[in-house]
Amino acid sequence: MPITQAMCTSFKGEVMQALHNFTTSTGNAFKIALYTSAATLDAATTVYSATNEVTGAGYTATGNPLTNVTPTTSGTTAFTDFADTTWSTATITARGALIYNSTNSNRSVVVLDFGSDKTSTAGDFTIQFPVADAATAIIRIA
Amino acid sequence: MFEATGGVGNAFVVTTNNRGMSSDEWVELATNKIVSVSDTAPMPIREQAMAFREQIKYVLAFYFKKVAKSERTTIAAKLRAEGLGHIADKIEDI
Repeated sequence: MPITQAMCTSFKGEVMQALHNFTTSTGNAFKIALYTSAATLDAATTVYSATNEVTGAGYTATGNPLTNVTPTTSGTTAFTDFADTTWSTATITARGALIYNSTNSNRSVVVLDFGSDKTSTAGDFTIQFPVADAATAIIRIA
Repeated sequence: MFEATGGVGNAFVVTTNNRGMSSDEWVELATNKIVSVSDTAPMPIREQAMAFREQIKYVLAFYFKKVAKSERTTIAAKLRAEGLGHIADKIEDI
């Protein structure tokens, strides 16, 4: 399967080296890039790449900047979130996405698999991140 | 030994064709963020949460439509001030 949803293995190691900071405003800058079904993205992805990145009206290579939500904890789980993001007046088709740290050498964080191709035609392409709690948040460490 | 497990949540994608998202579509996304009901919650709690969710949806839908309408009114006023009344009329008809 070309795109497999996963937390990137390199990210796990980099967290232990304090190379990612998700704090609101003062943390690193993170971006989300969209990819076609021809892309190969999985836990082994280490860095952002333009190969098989979506092209089309309303989409700029490297993707959209994300707004961080300062990590918090619930029980024994730590988690973080991002504000939802929209590409407006976009004519694009994407199968998945990569969230990466654009402050820190474009190091990959997580791969998202949309489950099927998602298409907008001269319209909005919106990604809503899941509810930020210990069971469902977009990025969790338990 | 201390062991940690990483998890990735499921993002939800909404797309539109030849238009922006409607206020109802934004209401759905906003409600998802405000009220989340677990499938495993006990039935009485689940029913109460679902009722609350519907109430939130109703309130958001009412005000989101007001926002959209106000935005169109502002744009139309600016267009009329520039002598573009015919375009302003079309925007207000949306």
